[in-house]
Amino acid sequence: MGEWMTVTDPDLSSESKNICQYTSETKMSPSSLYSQQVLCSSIPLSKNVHSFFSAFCTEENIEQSISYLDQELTTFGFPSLYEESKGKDTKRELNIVAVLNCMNELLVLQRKNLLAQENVETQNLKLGSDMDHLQNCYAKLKEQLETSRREMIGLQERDRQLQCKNRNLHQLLKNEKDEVQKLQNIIASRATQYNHDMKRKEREYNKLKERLHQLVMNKKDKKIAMEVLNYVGRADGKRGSWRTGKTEASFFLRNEDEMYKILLNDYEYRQKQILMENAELKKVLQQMKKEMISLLSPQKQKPRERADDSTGTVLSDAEEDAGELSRESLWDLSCETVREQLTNSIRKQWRILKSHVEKLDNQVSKVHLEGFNDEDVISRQDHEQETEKLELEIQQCKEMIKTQQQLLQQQLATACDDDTTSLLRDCYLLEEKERLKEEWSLFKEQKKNFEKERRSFTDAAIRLGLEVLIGTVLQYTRGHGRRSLTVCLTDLQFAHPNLLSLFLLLLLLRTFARHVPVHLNIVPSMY
Amino acid sequence: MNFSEVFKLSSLLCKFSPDGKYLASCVQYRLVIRDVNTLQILQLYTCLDQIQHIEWSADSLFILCAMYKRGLVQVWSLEQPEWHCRIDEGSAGLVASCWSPDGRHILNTTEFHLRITVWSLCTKSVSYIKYPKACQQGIAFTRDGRYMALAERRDCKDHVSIFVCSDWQLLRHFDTETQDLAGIEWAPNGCVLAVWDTCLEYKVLLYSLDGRLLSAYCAYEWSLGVKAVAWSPSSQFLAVGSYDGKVRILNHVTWKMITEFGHPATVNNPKTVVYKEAEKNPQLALGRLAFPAPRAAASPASNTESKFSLQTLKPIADRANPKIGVGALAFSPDNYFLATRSDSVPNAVWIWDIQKLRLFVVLEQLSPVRSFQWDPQQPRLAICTGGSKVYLWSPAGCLSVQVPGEGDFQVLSLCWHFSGDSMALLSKDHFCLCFLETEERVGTAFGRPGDHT
Repeated sequence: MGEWMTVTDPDLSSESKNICQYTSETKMSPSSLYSQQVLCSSIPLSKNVHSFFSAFCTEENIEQSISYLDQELTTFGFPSLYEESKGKDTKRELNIVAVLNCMNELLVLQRKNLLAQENVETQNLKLGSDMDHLQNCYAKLKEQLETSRREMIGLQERDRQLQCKNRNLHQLLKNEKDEVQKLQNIIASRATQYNHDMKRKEREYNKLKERLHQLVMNKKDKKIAMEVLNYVGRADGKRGSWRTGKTEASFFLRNEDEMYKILLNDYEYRQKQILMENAELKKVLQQMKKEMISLLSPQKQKPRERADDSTGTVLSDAEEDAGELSRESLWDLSCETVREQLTNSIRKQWRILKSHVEKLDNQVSKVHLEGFNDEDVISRQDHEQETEKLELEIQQCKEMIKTQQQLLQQQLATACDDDTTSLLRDCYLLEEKERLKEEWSLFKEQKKNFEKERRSFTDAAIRLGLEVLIGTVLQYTRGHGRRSLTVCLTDLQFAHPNLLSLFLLLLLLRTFARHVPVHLNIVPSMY
Repeated sequence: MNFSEVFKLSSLLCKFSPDGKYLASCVQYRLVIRDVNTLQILQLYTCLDQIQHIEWSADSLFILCAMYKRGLVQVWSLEQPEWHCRIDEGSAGLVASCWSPDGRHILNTTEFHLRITVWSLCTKSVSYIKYPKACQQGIAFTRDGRYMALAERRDCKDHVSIFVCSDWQLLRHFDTETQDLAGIEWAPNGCVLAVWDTCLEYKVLLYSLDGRLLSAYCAYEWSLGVKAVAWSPSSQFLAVGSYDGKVRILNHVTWKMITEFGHPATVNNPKTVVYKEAEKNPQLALGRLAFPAPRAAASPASNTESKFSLQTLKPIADRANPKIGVGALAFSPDNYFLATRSDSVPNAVWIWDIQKLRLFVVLEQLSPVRSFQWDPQQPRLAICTGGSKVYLWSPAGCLSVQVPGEGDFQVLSLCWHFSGDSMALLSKDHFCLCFLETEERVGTAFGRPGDHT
């Protein structure tokens, strides 16, 4: 409202100025400024309260202020401050209740707003610190970026320099090479020049020599002579022969002949040497081939897929070679085909051997890598462990043996040293022996006695038994039938200590039973 | 090891006769013939001038003495001391003189190599050979003495002529593809002739006896080439030593290089059996003791160092014939070893095992090696360095022997007797004989000074 503006007290404006001044003096962040402002505005300062509050409503404009307030509040949604008008004419009375309610509402609102404000302020602070942090990070990253950019530029510069240098060096090298070429050309040209000059000088020199020679020959220096007492015979004792035309020719031919003879001899000798060498080498190759075949063939007996072809070739090769050998020994020539065959077969064998060795190598490496345990093959680690174990065992055994030996030696030593103890021991042994002997003899006597008694008992038992049997049998034959015989026998069981007596009984019965058929069931009840 | 008395000598002219019975030595203008075993003077001849060269004839019956200044050659006979022969070249001059293999002809090379005159001692005939080449080794005789190869130069081209020595007939004449032939040498079997070019161009050509070119070998271009060449006694190998310090061995079957031996200044091959020796010269406070300082004292030097550096000599630049490269080569008589010397490492002798084609032994001395020679019968190498010691090496070991004598006997050269039993040691003014026991043992041989009959 415009009126609101005009109503403002100069104090208020000064108040606001103060506030502004205050805020400007402190130079805080906008948020804090704002908060400060709010605080200033929210916390009613005792000094300015009345003036602030009294500025709006005075004694004079109560009605106006009430109506204004009512308007404002109704716009804000609060209930009216006036009581319900009874009529249009009468002046509306101030509804104190409504006023109080409105005040309360306003207070509540105020509190809520304050809370919200606080929250907002804290959030604001947080955001502010976050912003600060982010700004710092940003600044740092910017710095880093700067430095890395500078580095990169530096490296690029260096790279460029090195490239430059490289190019320079290449150029230098090229220059050097060109120079070398040039110098070589110069040398060549100089050489030809020198040769030419030399030739010229030589020709001159030759001319001089010729001239000198002529002079020397022409001079016929009598001094140039040989003075000899007498001519010496030829070294080989032959006489010198006249040199005529014919003899010249014959000499010539003879010389030629001799020369060629010498050359031919030399060549033949060399050829012989070379043949011998060849034969030796061939022998060596043959041997090598045989050995290689023998090496490879036993291996190839194991069934392997790839090797089947090579076995075939090996065998066929061997057969071939057998034939070849005989042929070769017959001829013993170094003809092309034979040589080729030999070298080819050796190459083949060598290839087979090589592949075989490679396979073995692969196997070995596989074993190392995978460590798979074949029945025949154990991994190296296991093998090593085994050996270690065995070694330990051996160590232990050795130690044991040593200690035992020591003890034994000790015992023996102590035995040797201490005679009395040994004597004592011997005495003890003797005593024991004698005791044992006595006991043994006792035992034997007892045994004898027992035997005697046993025999006497058995005899007695047999006699008794026999008497009883005879008695019963007689009874049976007199009175009853067959059946009671078994009963009698079972009765007799107790009296018979051994089977011998039983057999005697049987014999007896048999003699009696010839006349009477009897079924005997002897129950072998054990005593 | 016995040493003989010291005798006078001049110009290092001391030669054993081919049959091994006599020893010829020169003192100024006198020629002294001694018996080899007793060293008694058998003959004494006087020549007309200072002798520059002596040579025995192949049958040991004659000996020639050449006096180049006077252009004279005098021939003496051993059978008939009163026999004499004098060849005067007069104004033609004389630069070289040698016997023919039959011992009845003398080949004189006149000054400026104008011609070679073949004087016959049997007949009155004289032959001339024109245009001989002025080079290091222009004349070569085969070992059996049948043929002579002669290097010639006509119309600025090199040629080789092969003569039959029995009647001096020209057998073959062919030109060689060399720029400037430096030397020729027959193989011991007499069937192949090796021809090599000047050091400005590396080229070795091999010709058969009948003049066919068998092979040409060139190891590299532009750098200095061949310095020395040696055939192996069996004619199987040809060793070519060149200025790049390497020896290349060619084989007789293909005439191609089978290996090359380098001579680096450091020997660093600990794995292979390289027996390195260094001679430590103990300063003997006592005078001259002819006891061999056994190289077993050098066993600390046969150490397990992985590297052994040898003393090198830096060649003077801008001078012709620089002291680099392999300048001396010699095969042992049994063909097992090759002894070489690299001029840039002058104190050392390298001995190569030819069977295995690798370095066997390196012998380093204190002073530059002057000459070395193999014993003609066994693989035993004698080395002299200009000091007063002579050094012997054999596969069993090596030893150094001080030469006894009043003064300092500087051994400048040596030569073996053909039987290998004795050796002549030559110094500037004296010579002495060294008698070796047939079975020399290292460390047990003691020299008795002044042992002579």
